Amino acid sequence: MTGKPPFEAIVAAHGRTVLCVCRAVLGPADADDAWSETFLSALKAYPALPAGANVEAWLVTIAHRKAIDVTRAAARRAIPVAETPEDATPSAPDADPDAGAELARAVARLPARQKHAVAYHYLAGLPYAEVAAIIGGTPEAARRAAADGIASLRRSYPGAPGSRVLP
Amino acid sequence: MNTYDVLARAFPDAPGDLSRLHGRLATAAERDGVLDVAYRIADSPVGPLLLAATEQGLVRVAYAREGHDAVLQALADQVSPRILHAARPGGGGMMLRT
Repeated sequence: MTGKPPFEAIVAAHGRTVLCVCRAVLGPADADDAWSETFLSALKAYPALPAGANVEAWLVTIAHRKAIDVTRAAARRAIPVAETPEDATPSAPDADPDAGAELARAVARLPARQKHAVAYHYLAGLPYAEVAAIIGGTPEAARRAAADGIASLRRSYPGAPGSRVLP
Repeated sequence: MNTYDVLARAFPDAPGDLSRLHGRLATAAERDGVLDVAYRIADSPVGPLLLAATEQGLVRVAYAREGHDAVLQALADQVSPRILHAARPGGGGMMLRT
C-alpha cells in the first residue's frame, strides 16, 4: 500500500501551475517540451517520493532543472552573428497589444535569477525557503531577487504603470 | 487582484493546451515503460465504466456507483501510483478496447 494519490491527480492538481511557470521561465516556444519532460521525469520518480513531500516544490524543482537543460541546449545551438538587434526580446512587428503579452515580454527580459524567483514564489506559490533551495542562496536572497524582479516589472511594464497593476 | 492573478494572466493556457500536453505525456510514459496503469472511462448501457489496464491486460472494470476516484486510489495502493488517463492506450500489452 503506497498511500499516494494516482499520478493523474498530481497532473490535474499541478499541471496548470507548472505550465505557467515553464512559460514564465522559458517562454512559450520551449514551455511545452519542458512541461512534458517535467511530468515524465516526475512520473518515473513518483513511487520514491517521500510521503508528505511538498509536491508542488518537487515539480518546480524538476521543471527548474529542465529549464536549465533547455536554456543550455539553446545556447549551444546559437549561431554567432556580426550584429545584434537593439532589442533582443522576442517581439513580432505586429506585437500583440494584449497587456498580458506585454507583461510576459517584461518577465522575459528579467535577469534569470529574478525571473526564477518571481515565477517560483508568485506563480508557484512556494515560500522563499523552497525557492532558495531550488535556485541556490539563502531565503533572504531569494526574497530580494523576487522583490527586485517585481520592482523591475513595475518600472518596465509599459501598459501597466505602478502598483495599480502589480500589487 | 493580487500579484499571482496579474502574472498568471501573462501566461494563459489556451483551451485544450493541458489536454494536448497530457496526451503527449501519456504517450511518452507508455513508450518509456513507466505507465504502470492506464485507464479510460467508457460509455456503456449501464453507465460510465472505468477500464484500467496494466501491461498484462485489464485489471479493473468499475461502475460509476463504486466511485471512480476511490477505485483509482485503490489501484494506486494495490498496483502502482503511476496511473494516467490514456485516451488511446496502445502499444505493448496495454490495450483498452471497448
